[in-house]
Amino acid sequence: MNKNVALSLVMTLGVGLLAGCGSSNGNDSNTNAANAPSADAGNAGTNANGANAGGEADSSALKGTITWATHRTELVDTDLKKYVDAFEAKYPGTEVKIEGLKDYEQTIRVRMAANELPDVLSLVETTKADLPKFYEPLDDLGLDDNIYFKDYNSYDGKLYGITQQVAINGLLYNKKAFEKAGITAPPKTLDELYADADKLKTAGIVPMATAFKDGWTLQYWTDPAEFIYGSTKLRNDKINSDTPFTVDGPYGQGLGILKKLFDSGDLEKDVYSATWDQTQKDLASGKTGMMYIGNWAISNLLSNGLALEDIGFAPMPYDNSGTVKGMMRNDWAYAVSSTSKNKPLAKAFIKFMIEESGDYKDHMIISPLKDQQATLTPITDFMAFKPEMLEAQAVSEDVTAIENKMQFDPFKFIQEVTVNKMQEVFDGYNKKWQAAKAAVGK
Amino acid sequence: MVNGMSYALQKRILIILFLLVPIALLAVFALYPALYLVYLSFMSWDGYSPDKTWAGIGNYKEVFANKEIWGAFLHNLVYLGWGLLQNALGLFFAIMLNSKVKGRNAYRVLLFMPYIMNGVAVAYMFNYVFNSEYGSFNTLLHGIGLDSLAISWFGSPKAVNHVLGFITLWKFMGLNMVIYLAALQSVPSEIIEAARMDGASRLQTTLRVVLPNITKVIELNLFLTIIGTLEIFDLPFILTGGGPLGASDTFLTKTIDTAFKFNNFGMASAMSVTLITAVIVVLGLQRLATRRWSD
Amino acid sequence: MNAAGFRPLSLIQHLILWAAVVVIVFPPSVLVLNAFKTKTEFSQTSVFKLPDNFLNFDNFGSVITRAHLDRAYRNTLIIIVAAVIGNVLLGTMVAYILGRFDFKLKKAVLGAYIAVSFIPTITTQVATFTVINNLHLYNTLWASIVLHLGTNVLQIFIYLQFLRNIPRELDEAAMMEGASLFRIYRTIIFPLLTPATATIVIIKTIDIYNDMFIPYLYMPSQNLTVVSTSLMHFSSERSTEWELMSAAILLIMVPIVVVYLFFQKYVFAGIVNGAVK
Repeated sequence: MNKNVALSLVMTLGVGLLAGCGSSNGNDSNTNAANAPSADAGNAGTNANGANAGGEADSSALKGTITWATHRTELVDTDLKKYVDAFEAKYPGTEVKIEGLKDYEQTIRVRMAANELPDVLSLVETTKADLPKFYEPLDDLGLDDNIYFKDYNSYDGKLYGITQQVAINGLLYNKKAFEKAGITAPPKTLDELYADADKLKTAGIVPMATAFKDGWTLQYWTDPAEFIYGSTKLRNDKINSDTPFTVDGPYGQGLGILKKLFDSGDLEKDVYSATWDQTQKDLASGKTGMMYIGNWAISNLLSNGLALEDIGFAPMPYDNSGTVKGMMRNDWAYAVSSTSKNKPLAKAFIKFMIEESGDYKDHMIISPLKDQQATLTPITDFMAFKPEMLEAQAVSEDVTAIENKMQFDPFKFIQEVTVNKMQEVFDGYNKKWQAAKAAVGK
Repeated sequence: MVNGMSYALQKRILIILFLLVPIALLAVFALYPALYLVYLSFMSWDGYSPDKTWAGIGNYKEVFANKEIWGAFLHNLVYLGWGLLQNALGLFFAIMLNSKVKGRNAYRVLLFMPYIMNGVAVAYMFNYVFNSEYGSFNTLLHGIGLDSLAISWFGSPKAVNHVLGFITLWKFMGLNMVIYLAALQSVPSEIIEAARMDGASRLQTTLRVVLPNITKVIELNLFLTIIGTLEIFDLPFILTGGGPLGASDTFLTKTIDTAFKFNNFGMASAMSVTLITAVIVVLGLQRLATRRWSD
Repeated sequence: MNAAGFRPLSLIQHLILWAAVVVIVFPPSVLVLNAFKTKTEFSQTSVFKLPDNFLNFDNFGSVITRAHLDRAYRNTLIIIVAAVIGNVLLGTMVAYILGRFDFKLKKAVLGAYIAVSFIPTITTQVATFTVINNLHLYNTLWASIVLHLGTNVLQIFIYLQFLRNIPRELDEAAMMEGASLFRIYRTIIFPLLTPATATIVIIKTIDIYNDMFIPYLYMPSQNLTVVSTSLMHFSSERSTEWELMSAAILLIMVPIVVVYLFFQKYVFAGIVNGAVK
């Protein structure tokens, strides 16, 4: 009978167990896809037949193994595997190991710090000057003059990343749901948008999906602010102001559209539980009417059982003038690690993915190659509205520095503006912006 | 061969041989990373670039000036509240199972079971329990006519931390209970019987004789709870991502965001060091308090 | 205690205990109900309704193939076996040294083990990652094995408590016969620590089985997924297919629960034995 023995045993047992559970169970998954706009998209468009351009002549020299890390986790065992198999068949003696990473960006950043990047990956942004430290120039693929968003990942005249697709943002809607609510054509003005929302609501359909809880799906809602501003420089031009967020300015008016929809009850019933997973299904089933999102989401609706002819895609009105604009955005970019031991193979693989894999066709997405644009019905429909197209711009280094300093989370910012008092939210963010700007010294 | 050596020499060799690998592992995988953390907390570093610059105590200043971080810290206090309840329940059930109740072993096994379950699986499981539209809990509430109570559990800024706190209670109460139970079993039965002979009721015996005998274990359990609540991370990370609108951010989820979302490893390291310091301070205070109490 | 005055109390006790059991069993049992349902069945019936067919293992089969659970179980098992064996050896060695000998740095060693237990491991990953990478363990099962190999304060204390109950006279008698210290460790100490080892093996197995962070960060290769990471990957695509997710969660939970139920005696042994002795 030794009470102290028993007690201290018990004590230490407990401490250890807790230490174990407190820490080692640690991190888990982040269910919300990292900020991947395209987490679900492939890219697509066309099947480049002109595959024999540039550096492919010495294909016999391609041997060995590379690792490919991708954020498209849901396709790893299916389509991506198929492309890898095709690549390996084309170049016997090669092997591509796929790593599908959840929380892609966070995982890659840790690996960057340890200088252990996979050979082929989706480029994680660094400061531009750091691009050459981590990534290999891709100019010798010979695609420089033929790709969209080249400047996004270039530094000092060299290209370090090729966007995996071009995404056009628009109002994606379920034609059957619109029909049921008595709507014959997509809205061309804001008033029509709100009126259509009412009609959908009356018909028992959730008018506008946001996948609010996931956050990243909201990022496109700053597009109207940029339409109003007339340029995609809006985010970068913040640098010229100490109070960039104003209720009657572009941010206030642009985000005001989403806010108004929320205030009139046109979004999901419980926005805080609305996830992208569920949203795809609800859009496909017609439980929800529309969503403002990239064209890549079309393939998600298809795979959830909605027929192509029932999918509508149109520009989103941002005022009552009747003229519309459209936004083209880049996506994650293919890149090769500067420490890769088999750069030729890594580059050949990227070229294959872009030009030959069939990814673009399979997932109905737009190829980054300017001369490889296939006809996608929804895109044709979209363009029929004759929108003025804007191209997204990279966030400038100074603005990134300030935003990181103030811990600016663009998704949370939009969420807050949507559900809280706009003036108060803006005041708070202006204050933080000003302080961070001063601290960074810009 | 060893037989020829003196035991003094053998002892030296054995100490070195036996401790070599364990100490190496400890140093490389625990001590070094910890020291590196302290080092980083004085540097300005984005987490990936090769360049780090000296920041002095700048990171710490920023941590203490940032209201959102301390706002998130308040959420940890909600967990602490649930943690205290968890302790009380653990003690309560331990006392109950320490009596000769029928099937006590089965109860003990069942109540401890959540603790051994995979944390991620538990998180996903509760995602389905508390889902506002399809979740089993709200279905249950609707089923018994309590529709007004069937709210969006993870969506309500007021409820969300309590829901997460409840899940931690669900998972860890059994651990507290088992530790208390072991302590109770070590209280000499003679003391208890003596008290009963003097006419003390069960409650009186528990309060005056049993509990004072297990203060050390109560202290331990409280300490575990406090560390656990200060360092809570995985549940909000998996289930809510800190949402809605940061309502379920905790000190550690903020730390991870600072490092990986805002590329500020220096500040994130300073936050970690602050947290560890807080744990040690709380431990010290608690020791002081309980020592005074038990004297 | 007299039985007459005790009965109502006992009834209340059982009621309270039953309430607690219901709260604990409720979430997993809903999973059990729904994991056996077909997709349409799930969408058309209440979550509380019994499945039409409890022998409908389709969801489980589909989860095992799609999440590659067979591979995940195998990887997990390899890690557990290797890490637990090494861990028990190292743990008993440390305990033997700390429990039987006095030397200058004894307190420092113990203090170091206690100190590191306060640090949330997630905060130190950048440094740990660099170490793992420099040792070329990245993206190998060894990463997880090595990180779980080290002993910790919990094990050391459990062993020390048991060691205190092994009479020193045994050591001394062996020394009289000229046994070396190593031999004493091997033939006396290690075998007599078996009850504590049983506890530690179970606890460690549970730890490793439930760990997601290390495999997630250090073994991203598809071939190296373990059970927890496979659940994570699976959920990223299937989180809305509840009948599948229910099956997946159960497949992750059940093995460890079975191990626990079989060996629960040992899980509590460390505590209870220590208390009785």
